[in-house]
Amino acid sequence: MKHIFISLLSFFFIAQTSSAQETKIPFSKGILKICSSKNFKISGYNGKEVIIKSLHKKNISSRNFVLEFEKARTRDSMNTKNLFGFIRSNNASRKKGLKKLGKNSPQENGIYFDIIEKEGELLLQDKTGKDWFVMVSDESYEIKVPNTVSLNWNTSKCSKNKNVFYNSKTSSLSNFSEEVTITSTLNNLLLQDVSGPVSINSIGGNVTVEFDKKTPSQLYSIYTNNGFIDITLPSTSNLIVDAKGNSIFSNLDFNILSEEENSGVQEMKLQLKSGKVKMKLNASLGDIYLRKK
Amino acid sequence: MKLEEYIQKNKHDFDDEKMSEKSTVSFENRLLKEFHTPEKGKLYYIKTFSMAASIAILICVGIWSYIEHSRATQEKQKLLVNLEDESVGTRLEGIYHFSDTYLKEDVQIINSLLKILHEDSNNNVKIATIDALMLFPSNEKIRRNLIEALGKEKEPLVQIKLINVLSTLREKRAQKPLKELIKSEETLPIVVNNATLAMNKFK
Repeated sequence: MKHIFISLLSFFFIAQTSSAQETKIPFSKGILKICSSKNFKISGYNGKEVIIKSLHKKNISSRNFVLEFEKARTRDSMNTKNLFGFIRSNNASRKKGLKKLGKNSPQENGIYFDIIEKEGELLLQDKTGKDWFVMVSDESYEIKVPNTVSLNWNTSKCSKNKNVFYNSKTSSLSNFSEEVTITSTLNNLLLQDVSGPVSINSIGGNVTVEFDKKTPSQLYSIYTNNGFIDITLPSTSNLIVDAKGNSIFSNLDFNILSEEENSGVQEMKLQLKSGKVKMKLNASLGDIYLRKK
Repeated sequence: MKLEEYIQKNKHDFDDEKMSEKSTVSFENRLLKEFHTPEKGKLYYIKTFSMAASIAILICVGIWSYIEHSRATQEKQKLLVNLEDESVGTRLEGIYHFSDTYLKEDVQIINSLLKILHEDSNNNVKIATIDALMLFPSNEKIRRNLIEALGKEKEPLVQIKLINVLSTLREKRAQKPLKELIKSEETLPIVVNNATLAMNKFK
């Protein structure tokens, strides 16, 4: 028991000293562009700086289980045998107490992506090389974004290489009231009290949207190929929903304006109150859930 | 004079067949008044009223047409402006307004949508555009552009959308870009699967 207590104490001590590093960048007008497969918890606030805080351990290789794959030369080489030939696992204990040398060394603030500021744009981009991509990362960041900045978030590194990027942890965006566009491949996303306009597209990621203190006030457009779309709404929302997916489930008292079913795909036009705000949901092979808050 | 004597004396005055002289004069005077002198005046009033009514109707129709035309022009202009807006949300609003409400096969708007199909940077905008263009499946220009877009498109989600749409249209000319997609090393396996299924439908 004593050992457990000491271990827990050490864990909290390490967590306190090695994380919660904040970087503040003055930026209150323009577009915040994120090109990263890492895990983010983004929230809007009334301020004038983008505040980035690492939630993982710093220095002792935060990326202690980052798998980096060399870009597969042919599709045949993407099989398991060849894929795992490229795994490189970092040995955290061997690096303890040491610092990586060179200009690409980890930052003291625990931030392992590039921060580039251009005119009207702040870019946060993965540091991966030209022919490399991050497949899994245990890095996690909290970002506070002024509610006067638009967000353009791509869960890849925004390159033209069409590699699949994946992070098993759900990234989230909350309390945001400016325009949001999100492009994802497989990453799951959670949006809480994001009033819109919002456009999200994902191949296989699941999209969960929750309205607690707010109701949707501007356009929501969500497309997935086989991920589900799960939306929780107050019944006082003023919406017109075009939903298309494998199946549509709801416990909200919608006025059903039209419904069709073609080749196993359900398509419905639903209305709450006078239908002021448009919500376009297309989950293709995935299901759509519309829940009452 | 007794009543019987009076009737006897004036018995012709009670004849229904014969009008009294006074009445005849009075009747003729009234005829003149009703049908001769005032006739021209009444017709004049009727004609004037008819003309005024016609002009009023014409003006109303003209104003209504003008309002409708300017409303339609304004709606179209607003749509075209929205389709070129920097904001993804505004472009989407424009496309959804077109496919939900506007619904006209307008050349200028179709051209604007085709430009989006080939050049836009956002997947939602492109997919919404493909749905909007699919409102006119027999339009040859749209079909050709959808095939061309499939040959150039790099975004997997948009590629899948184009494959499904061209497969629904049974557009056999899509076989060439489909084969190229299947062959390409850059194509994601999920896109290859969709392309292969579409190819099988054409056989």
